[in-house]
Amino acid sequence: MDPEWIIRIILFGIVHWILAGFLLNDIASRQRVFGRRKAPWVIVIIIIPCFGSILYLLFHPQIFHPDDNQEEH
Amino acid sequence: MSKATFKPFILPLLLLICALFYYFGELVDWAAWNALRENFFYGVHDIHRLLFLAPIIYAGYTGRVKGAIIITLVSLVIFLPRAFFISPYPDPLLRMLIFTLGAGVIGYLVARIRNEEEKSRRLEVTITTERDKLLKIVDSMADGIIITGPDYKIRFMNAYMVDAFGEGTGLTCYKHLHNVDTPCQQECHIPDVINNEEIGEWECTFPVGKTYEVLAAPYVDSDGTVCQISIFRDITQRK
Repeated sequence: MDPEWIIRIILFGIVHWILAGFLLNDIASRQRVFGRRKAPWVIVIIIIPCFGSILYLLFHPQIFHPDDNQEEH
Repeated sequence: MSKATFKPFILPLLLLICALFYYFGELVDWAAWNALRENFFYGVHDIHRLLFLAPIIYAGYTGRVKGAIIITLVSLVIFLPRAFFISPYPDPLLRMLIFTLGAGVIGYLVARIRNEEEKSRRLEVTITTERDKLLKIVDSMADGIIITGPDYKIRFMNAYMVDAFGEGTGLTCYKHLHNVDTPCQQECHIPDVINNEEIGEWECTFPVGKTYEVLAAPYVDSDGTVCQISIFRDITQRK
């Protein structure tokens, strides 16, 4: 395999797992998630690299407003 | 509709605008919008990337450190396709990574400043609450309390003393309590209490006809000045 492709895959993987780490931590601490069940979101975040995380962020924008949503956690 | 209704949409909207701007040249090619074809959209995208500072800083402000890191990573995901497949210019990956790192640091610093600001605001509220609580206790006491500075000026009187002598904060103690123009020569213990840090106890009769038992001790005020705190107990009945 072309070394450039290896760098691309590694970089994409790093970004994916850092994002996934933050969001899985958020799922674990959140009482309610969109659609009520947490398991599908965990699968989406892990299985679909980066775009699963972006999808989760789109449905849970309150992650960026911790002051307004402290009761959620 | 309230401001809070729109709040969750601000970040996705900002990111969408930035992403559209970042890939606008490709969008023009794909949609064949020839009228919109400008050289600017096909140059080095270092300037175009600067637009992403807006969502990253906003995320740092609202979502704190976690928000800043997440939006920096999402921005990186948006940058990757251009760096990997589109950009014909040298070192696209390196330039993009350097920008992302810089933007992430800015977002992180914004989040830290906001955290400190929030912390000091909470601390201020706590101090104000505690001070109000303490003042309430002091005001409900059956004895009088006066804090006097080294310049003989009254810095604080509790409700009991205000009832007995009237409000005198800011006035000299000898003028307000004894109605004289110079410090009381024999009775005054302020120099002993403040300079020698002694605890004094004496009896004092005032022109209003009341006699008080006075217990005074040194007290360091909020500005660092050593003052005298005196507790006045009415012993007129006993006399």
